[in-house]
Amino acid sequence: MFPLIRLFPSNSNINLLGFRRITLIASVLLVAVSLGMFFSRGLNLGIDFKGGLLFDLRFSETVTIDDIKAELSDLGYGTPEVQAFGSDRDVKAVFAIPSASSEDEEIAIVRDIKSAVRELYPPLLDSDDLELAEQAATEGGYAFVNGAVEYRRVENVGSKISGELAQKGALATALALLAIAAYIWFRFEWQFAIAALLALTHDVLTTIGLFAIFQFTFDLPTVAAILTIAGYSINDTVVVFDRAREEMRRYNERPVIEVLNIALNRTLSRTLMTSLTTLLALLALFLFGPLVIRDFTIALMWGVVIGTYSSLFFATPMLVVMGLSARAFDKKIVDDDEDDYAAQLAASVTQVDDDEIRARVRGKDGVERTVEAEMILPEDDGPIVSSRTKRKKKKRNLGRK
Amino acid sequence: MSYTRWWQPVVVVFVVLAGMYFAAPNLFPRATYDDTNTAQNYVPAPFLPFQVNLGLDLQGGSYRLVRVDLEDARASYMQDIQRIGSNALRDQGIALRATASDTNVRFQFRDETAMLGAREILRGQFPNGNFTDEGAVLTVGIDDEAFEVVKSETVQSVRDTIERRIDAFGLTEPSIRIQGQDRILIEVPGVSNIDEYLQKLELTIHIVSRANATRNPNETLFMLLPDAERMLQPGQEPISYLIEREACVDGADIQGTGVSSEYGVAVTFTLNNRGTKDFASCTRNNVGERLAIVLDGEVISAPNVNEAITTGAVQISGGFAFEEARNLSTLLGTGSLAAEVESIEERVVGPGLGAESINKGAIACLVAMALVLVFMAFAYGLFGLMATVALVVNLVMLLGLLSLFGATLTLPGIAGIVLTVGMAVDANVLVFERIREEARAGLDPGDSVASGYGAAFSTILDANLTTVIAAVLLAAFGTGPIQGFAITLTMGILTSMFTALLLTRLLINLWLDGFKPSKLPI
Repeated sequence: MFPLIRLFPSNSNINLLGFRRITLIASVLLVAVSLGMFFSRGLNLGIDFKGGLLFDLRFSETVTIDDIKAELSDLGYGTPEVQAFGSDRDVKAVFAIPSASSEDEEIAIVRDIKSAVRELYPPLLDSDDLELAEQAATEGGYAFVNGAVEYRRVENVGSKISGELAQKGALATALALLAIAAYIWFRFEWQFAIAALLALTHDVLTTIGLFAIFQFTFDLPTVAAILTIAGYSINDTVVVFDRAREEMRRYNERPVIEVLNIALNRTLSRTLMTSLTTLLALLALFLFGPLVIRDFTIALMWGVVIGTYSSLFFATPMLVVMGLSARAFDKKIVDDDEDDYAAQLAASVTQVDDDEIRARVRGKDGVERTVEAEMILPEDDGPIVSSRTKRKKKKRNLGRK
Repeated sequence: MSYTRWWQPVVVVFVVLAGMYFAAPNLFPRATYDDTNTAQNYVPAPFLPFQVNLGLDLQGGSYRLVRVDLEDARASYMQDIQRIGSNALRDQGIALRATASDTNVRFQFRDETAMLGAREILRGQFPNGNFTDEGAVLTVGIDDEAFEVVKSETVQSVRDTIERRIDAFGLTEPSIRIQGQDRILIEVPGVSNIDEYLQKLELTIHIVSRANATRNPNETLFMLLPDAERMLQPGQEPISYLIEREACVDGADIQGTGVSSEYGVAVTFTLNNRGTKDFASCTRNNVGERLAIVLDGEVISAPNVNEAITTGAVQISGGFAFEEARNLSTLLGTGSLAAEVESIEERVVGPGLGAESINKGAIACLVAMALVLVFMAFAYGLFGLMATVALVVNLVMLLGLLSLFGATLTLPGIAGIVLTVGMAVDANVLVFERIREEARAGLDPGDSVASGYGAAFSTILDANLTTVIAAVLLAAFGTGPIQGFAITLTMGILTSMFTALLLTRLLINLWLDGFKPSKLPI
C-alpha cells in the first residue's frame, strides 16, 4: 500500500501547555472582542427573531439589485433589505414590518405587502396551477399572463412569535450547556465540569461574535448550529479529558502540567484527524450544498475550528488554572477485577524460572492459591513503553494455561 | 485461535441487512395520490411501504401558524344561542323577541308562563347556560368555566373546518395540529398559497332596510355594511347598505353548492328544509325589496326580490371569475370557520427550491464521502478503507432508520447527515489511534486491535452521549426543520456507533483471521 500520512510523529511531545498563558489570554481577548461586537454592532437577526417578511425570488432574466430595491421601495412599505442570492437572477428581499399598534394591524400590513409584491412581480405558476389558471381565464373570458418570477420562498414571522422563538432558542442553548456540564460532572471531577462549561461558553460566545463581526444572518438554524458546535466541542474536550484522567491515574506522582501534556499529545493526532474529516465534509456542504443553509454551514465550520482550539488550548489549561493536581487521583493501574488480579500477580511473584513464573495470589473468592504462568518475551526488541500492556500480556497467557 | 466470535458476523449481518431492507423502499418512486386521495404506493412486496418523509422545505409547501381569534367567541356564541334558541322555541309555537349582546341573550316572552316553558326548552339546548329570569324576560349568559369549554370547542371546530376544506380540494397529507390554547399549526405539502382555506366565509342573507342609510341606524336592529370591491366598476364609489341585523338565512343552512355559468358565472347553493322555509317566508314578506348576500362582513350581491322563492335554490352572481366561483362554492360547502384566524407565522417553499435542495444536498453528501474516504485511506490505509465501508453502511442504515420511524428529512437534516459523514469516522479514528499506540507498545496485531477497541470504548460513549444531550434539547425546543436536524443527528450517532464499533471490528477481525498478519498496516 501507499505510505500512510502521519499528521504527527508517532511519539509527539510538544509542550502544548507551555503556551497556556498566551492561549488563555488570546481566548479571553477573543471572548471580549465577541462581546464588544455583539453589544456595539449587534447581530444581523433574521426574520425568525426579528419578525418580518422574506421573499426569495428567481427572475427569468438577469436583474440588478438596485433596480429591485428601488421598485420594492416604491411600493411604499419602507425600504426592504435586498441582496443577491446565489446567481444574478436570484434575489432575497426582506421587509421589516413596522411595529404596529396591534397584531391585527401587523397581519394586515403583511397581507398588503404580499399582494403588492405579487402584483409587481406576477408569480410564475407551476404546471398544475397553470392548467387551472388557464382554464379559469378561458372560461371566465379574462386575459391571462403567466408571470416571470418564481417565488422560491416566502416567509413571514410575526413579532410576537419571533420573540417567543428567540426566548426558546436562548433557553435551549443555556439548558444544553448546563446539561452537558452536569453529565461531565457526573462522569469526571468537578474541575473538569467547570472547565468544560467555560470552554463551551467560550465557543458559543465566539460564534456569536463571528456572526456579529461578519453580520451573517442569525436565525433559527444558527441556534441549531450553535448547539451542534457545543456538542462537537464537548466531544473533543471529553476525549482529551478522558485521556487526562487515565494518565493522571497512571502518573499521579508527576506534575499536573506534564501529565496533561502527555494526554494532549496522545490525543493530538485523533483530535486533528477528526477535525479535518469533519471540516472536509462541511467544506463539501459549503461548496455544493443548498444556498439556504450556507450561513448555517459557516457557523458549523467555525465551530469545528474553535471547538478543537478550545479543547487543546482553553479547556485543558483551565484544569491547570483551577489547580487540579494529579495527586488527587488514586494510583490506579487497572480498572477492573481481571486487571486487579494481574496487578496482584505482578506484585506477588514468588519465583521466576527460565520461562516460568510462580506467584501466590488471592482470587475473587478470597482464597489464596499458587499460580504458574509461562513467560513469553516480545519477539522484537523494541522498547516496552507501557507497563500496563506488559501486565496484560502476562494475564492473557495465564488465562490460557 | 480465531479473533472473530461466532456472534459477531451474525449480529452485524442481521442488523445491516435489516437496515438495507428498511432503506430499500426509498429506491422506488415516491407515493402519489389519486383523485380520491388514496395513496398509490410503488413499493413492491416484500418491502414495507415506508419511505423517508420529506419536510416542507424539501418538497415545497406551506407552513402556517395561525391564531384563532377568541375575543369574539363569547359574542358569537351568544348569537348562536339567539339563533338556535329562537328557532327551537318558534318550532314549539312560542312567540318571542330575542336580542343578543356580547355577554348575554335577552328573550322577551308574552307572559311568565310562556317564559317558564321556554326556559325548560332552552335549558335542554344549552346545559352550560346561565339562566336568570324576571317576569316575562329570560336572560341567558354563560359563566367563565363553561366559556373555557366553548373556547376549546371553537378552536377544535376551526381546525376541523380547515381540514375539511383542504381535503375538499384533494390536497395531499395536510398536517393540522392545535398548539397551546388558541393556535393551530397547518402544514400543507406542495401548495404555495393556503390563504383561501383560512377565510371565515360566513355567508348570510339579510333584508336591505328601506330606511335611509345616512340616518343614524338603530344598531341593535340594523347594521351598515360595505359592498365587496369586486362588485365595483372602475371609477365607481363604494356604497354601503343598511341591512337588518337578523339574518333570513344563515350559512349553517347551506347544503349543496355548485357553480353555474349560464348567465355569467354564479355560485349556486340549495338550502336545507329549515333554510328553505325561512328563505321562503323572508322573500314572501319582502317582495319588491332588496336582499343583501353578505360574506365576511361585505355585501357581495344585492338582488331584488321579484317573487317568493320557495325552492330553496339560491344563486349569487357577484362578478366572479370562474375559478374564484368554483373555489368559493367548494369552500362554502365545507361550512364557515367558527372564528376568525390570523396568520402569525408563515413559511412557503416553492417546489423548485425544494427539489434543488435535495439535489445539492445529495451531491454535497457524495463529495463529503469521497473526500473523507480518500483522507481516511491515506491516513490509516486498509483500516481507513474499512472505516469508509462502515461509513457507507452507516448512511444506508440511517436512511433505513429514518424510513422505519417515519422521521421527516429536512434541509438542516441533510446538513446533519453530511455532518454525520464527517463525525462518524471519529469513533474509528479514536480506535485506530489506540491500536497504533498499542502496536507501538509491542502488542501483536490481534491484541492491539482488541486492546484498542477496549480502551477507546468509554471515550466514544462519553463523547457521543454529550452530543446526544445537545441533540435531544434541540429536538425538544426546536420547530419543524430544526427538529428534523436533531432527529437525523441523533439517529446518525446511533448508527455510526454501531458501524464504527461492531462493523469495522468484524471486518478487522475477519482480516486478521484470514491473513494472519505479523504486523498491522497502520
